[in-house]
Amino acid sequence: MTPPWWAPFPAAEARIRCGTADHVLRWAEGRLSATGHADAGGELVLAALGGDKPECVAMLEAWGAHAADLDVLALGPRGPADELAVTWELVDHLRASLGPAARSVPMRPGPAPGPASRGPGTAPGPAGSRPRAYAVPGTGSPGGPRPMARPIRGMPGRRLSPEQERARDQRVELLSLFALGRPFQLRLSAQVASAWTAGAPAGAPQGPGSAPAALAAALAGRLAPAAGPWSGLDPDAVQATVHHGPGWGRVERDGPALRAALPLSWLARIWAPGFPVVDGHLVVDVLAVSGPRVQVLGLPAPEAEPAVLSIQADGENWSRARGER
Amino acid sequence: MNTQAAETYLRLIAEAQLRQPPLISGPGPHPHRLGLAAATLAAAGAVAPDVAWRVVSEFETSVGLRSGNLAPVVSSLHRPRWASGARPAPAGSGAPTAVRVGATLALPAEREGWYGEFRLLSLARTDTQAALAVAARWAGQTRRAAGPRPRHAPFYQVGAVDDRGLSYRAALWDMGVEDGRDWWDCHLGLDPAPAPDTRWLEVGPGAQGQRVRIDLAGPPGTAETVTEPLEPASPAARLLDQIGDDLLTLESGEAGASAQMEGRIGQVIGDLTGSGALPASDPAVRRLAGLGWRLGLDLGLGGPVPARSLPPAWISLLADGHRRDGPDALAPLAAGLPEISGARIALAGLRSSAGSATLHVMASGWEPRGQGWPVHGTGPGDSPLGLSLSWRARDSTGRWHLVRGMSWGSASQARGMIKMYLTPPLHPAATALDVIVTGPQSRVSATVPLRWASGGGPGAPGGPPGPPPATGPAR
Repeated sequence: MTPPWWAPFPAAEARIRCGTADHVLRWAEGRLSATGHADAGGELVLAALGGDKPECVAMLEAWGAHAADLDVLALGPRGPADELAVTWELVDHLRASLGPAARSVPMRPGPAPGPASRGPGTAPGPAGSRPRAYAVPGTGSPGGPRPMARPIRGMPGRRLSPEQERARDQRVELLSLFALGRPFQLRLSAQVASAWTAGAPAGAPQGPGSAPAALAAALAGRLAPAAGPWSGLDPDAVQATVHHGPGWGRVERDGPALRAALPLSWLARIWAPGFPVVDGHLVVDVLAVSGPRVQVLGLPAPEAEPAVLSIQADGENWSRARGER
Repeated sequence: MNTQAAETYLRLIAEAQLRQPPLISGPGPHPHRLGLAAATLAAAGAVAPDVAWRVVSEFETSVGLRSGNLAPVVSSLHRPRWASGARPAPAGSGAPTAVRVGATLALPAEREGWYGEFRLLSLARTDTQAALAVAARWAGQTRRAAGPRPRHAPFYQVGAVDDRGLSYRAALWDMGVEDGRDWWDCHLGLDPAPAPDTRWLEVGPGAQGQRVRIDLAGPPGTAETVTEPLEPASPAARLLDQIGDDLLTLESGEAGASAQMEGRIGQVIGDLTGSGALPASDPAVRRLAGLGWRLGLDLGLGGPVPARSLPPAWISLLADGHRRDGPDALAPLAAGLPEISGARIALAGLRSSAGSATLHVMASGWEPRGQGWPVHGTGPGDSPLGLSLSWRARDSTGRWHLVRGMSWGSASQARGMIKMYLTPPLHPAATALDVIVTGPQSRVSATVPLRWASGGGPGAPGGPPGPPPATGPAR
């Protein structure tokens, strides 16, 4: 039996300031929950009736609203080296610059996670201001400096149409989800890819353009940085298409190019958890998940027979499980 | 056409570009790689304008989210007008008509001692718009001690009155920059537009109270016109043909000096064929490759093609494109054209000079968009679209002329008035001009006689009548 798409992901957590309290948003087994709100569903109903909407509940609502949003794949990360410069400070700044939004709740700043540490993703606030909101992912983040967002000055004062206002609100809402941190960006990307695996999901946002084109690009944009170096080619030489039907697809050399046809589920089940290439194998399918170990099918080379591998994570890196070599 | 395949092609370019930061736009007004591809595929109809814009805005937002430049996150919310795919609003109700005027309104001298004149070529109008096509210039000096000729255009406030005593405001528009040129081609917009049954208008006063009477009672100008259906050509092929026209109108040296232009045009061809919008074997590809070879441009498509594969207009331009033998003269022509692709057009005067010619038209239901963008570039908010009508002309000697550029203003009083700059100049022996407008499904040719009024100095045939005024009120 095929394990669910979320099975290889460990849980992830982020802290945000909710009202006057410091709450945790927790993602586990494909679901986002607000640990400080036992009846988040009831609070959503109350909010719809005109009551206050706590930030945690607003974030749960936003997660659901973007769970099939192809903008997540268009704007989100493509690979381990692809860092987004999205912080809470940026989201707050955007909200302030763009004016009041109909659907979104201003993200109020929260305290630092502890007296000695501000933790990854912490953005210091201006002197004299309240501390900013922050996210604490359940998994570690890669080292190295992250790009910092530059503030926007002189925002255009053009009037937006109602349609543009909705687009603006949705864009800011999506960036607030990205601001939860890279682990959440990857899990949301996986959720969107999973939602589209069996065709267009009900209630998916409908914009101009073709969903199959956006999905094909999303697959290609994430496969190329992994499959290019794996095959000894430039990523631009990787030509990816979405595989439909039974089986994991195919990967073959075609002159100077590498042609790959993989199912969309590859994004959710393999790329997003972070093991597209492990120990020289291009991973093409997940067979089983047992605790920290994941049994996968991996190609040692284009057109080679796939091998069964057992892998496990060490932080964000995946390698052959002990005793497998 | 498989629009999904074309959109996928465009999105894959975005993915490839995202792997290669930083994002760098082309030189000057030329867009970045994805912007050029989006403009190309949108112009060719391979992707809808709003889809092209969406892919570009997502890409620019993605780049902004990675580089820390957040401006695109906001600017991408403002969809430019072209992305909506809306057709331009008509300039006025009904079809424009034009009448010949062919008169000179001498102007009083200005403080510098120079006096100017308005050469009124033709009047074009619809039910709601009316404008005179004007060639303005400094005609002479009142005294020897006068200073050098002003660099600005002669600008003198005039008005108009009709046969019933109704007054009209008249304002000069679309004059261009103050660069000391010999002639300013411009439009004198009338507000309000004269009623359809107006018998005449007097425009003035000029020097010594002079007024020019324009007879509106007669029939509007007509021309011999021929409308012919065309074999359907793909928008992509028409785009390449238009690029060929644009290349031939470049000043000498512009094309050869630009390796970037070679790359850009090669990229346009590659995007059209790579996206499936045009087969690589299409004759339009072969035509443009052949033209590029003759112009010394390496478009990456190989060597020469026989002359018979090139349009006669291109052969003519290759032979005569460098000429500077045009007559210095004015032609107050007037002609209405049959409808083409939903547009109505009236020809409303022409000024010829040694190096080029300026044709005035009034258009309803059409406006130039994205003219010459693959060659001349386009700004971020500019339309990359503009294939609905293409323009060429051929004079009675057989010399062809292409449109080097178009100019029009946004003033409501002169709305719909467009100046088209033809190159090369008209042949000195030309007595008539075929103006050829091509749409997707048909072509209209209008033959108008060129009854020249000289553009020479005062006293020259057709020049301003009478002695120059000695003095006049300062502006």
